[in-house]
Amino acid sequence: MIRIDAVLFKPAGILVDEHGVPFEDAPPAMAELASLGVKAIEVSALSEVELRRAVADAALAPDRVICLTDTEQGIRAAKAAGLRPVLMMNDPDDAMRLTALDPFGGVVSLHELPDFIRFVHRQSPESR
Amino acid sequence: MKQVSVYRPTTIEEAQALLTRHGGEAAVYAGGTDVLIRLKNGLTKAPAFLVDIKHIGNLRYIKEDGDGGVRIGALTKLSELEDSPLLAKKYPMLVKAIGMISSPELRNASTIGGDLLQEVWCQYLRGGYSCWRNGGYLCYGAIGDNSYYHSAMGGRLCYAVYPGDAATGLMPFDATVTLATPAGGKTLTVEQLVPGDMMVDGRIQSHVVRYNEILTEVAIPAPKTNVRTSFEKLRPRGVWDFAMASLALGLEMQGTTISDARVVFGGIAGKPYRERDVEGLLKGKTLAADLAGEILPRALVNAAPLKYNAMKIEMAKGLLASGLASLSA
Repeated sequence: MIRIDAVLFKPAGILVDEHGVPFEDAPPAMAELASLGVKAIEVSALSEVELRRAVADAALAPDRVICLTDTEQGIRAAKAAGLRPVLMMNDPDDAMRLTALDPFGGVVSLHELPDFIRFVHRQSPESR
Repeated sequence: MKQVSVYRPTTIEEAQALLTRHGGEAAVYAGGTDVLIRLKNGLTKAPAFLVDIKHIGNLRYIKEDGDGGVRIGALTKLSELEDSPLLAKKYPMLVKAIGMISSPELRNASTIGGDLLQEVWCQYLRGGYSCWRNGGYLCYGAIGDNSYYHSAMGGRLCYAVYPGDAATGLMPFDATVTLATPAGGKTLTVEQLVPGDMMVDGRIQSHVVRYNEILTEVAIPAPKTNVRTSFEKLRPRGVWDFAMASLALGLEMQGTTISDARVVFGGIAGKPYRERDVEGLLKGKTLAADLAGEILPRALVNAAPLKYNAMKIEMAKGLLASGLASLSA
């Protein structure tokens, strides 16, 4: 069974647009994650070094951390750091191309992320 | 195709015990036009044990109840519904909807229970992609070719449309279903049965039926004498194809005034989409040829089309216009 303890992301493109304006789905999604006991951790860059440092600082197990990203670099860095990359599928064509890198999963909107984690948590060999 | 074992219980209780014993590894097998295709498609969630319920007596019937309604056993073939004089007399719109499902050959095999509970027909799922319904955590339909099998009304992880026509055709009649559950019988409206993508027993599905529950009966209340109904379906070909968009319309009339309405779209969302805003708008209106002009701009305002399927919304609105026009004639 897979457990997710934290979601790690670079705010631009995930929480806020390129002008720093928050996406409307971000605050409710972050609140719901908190209610699930899942930490939201911001990083300044999606590099392997930065991701490893953030995970170590928070004393997390890497395979229990999702890295939200919409870039090839982000997916590769997350995998290199042992995290689970989840595609933020902002652009359909880009996202389809990036599925070739075999991300752990993908969401269309941040709004879906709590359900994503609930679903992952509920998977078990007994489930249909 | 993976190896499967088939059980042939003769009672509901026996079937439930088998389903309970095997948990998520078992599935109900009736007409087979969905579950066998899931096996052939090689889906990771396809069952290893089939519980063939065709040998259970008293699940295949169409009969009038004491209140003038009709009860249909879950194992009744779609072709039997299509050919039923009783249904044709009481619910011609439903018979039309059933007659537009798939092909004559498949209607001879498919059951009403199976049509209501069928898996989605997204080409990515059926093609073996590791999506939400097939062991993965991503919807390929949301980012790939979503012109046909995907929702234009938003989604919840999975963006496939609910594919059945029977539910769409039953909802204007306020039909209900009965489930046999380990705790006894349970009655739900069809709308409650297929509420859109749900996490049930650790999997995503369009209906609420748990792994050890069995749909046994559909009940349709007595038709009201002052109701006008219509069903239309748009699809690429005249047979076999699923709906790009469909509409089941029911208008309760007092003279020329609409006193109540049911507006249910199929093929555009993860569930039969009951457009309650339009139902509210129609109440109190005079049914006339120009009514659509007033209603259409306020229909499906919550649409959220994906990259390639905005035309589904235009199709649905076109069906609403033609449905209102045909009922006003």
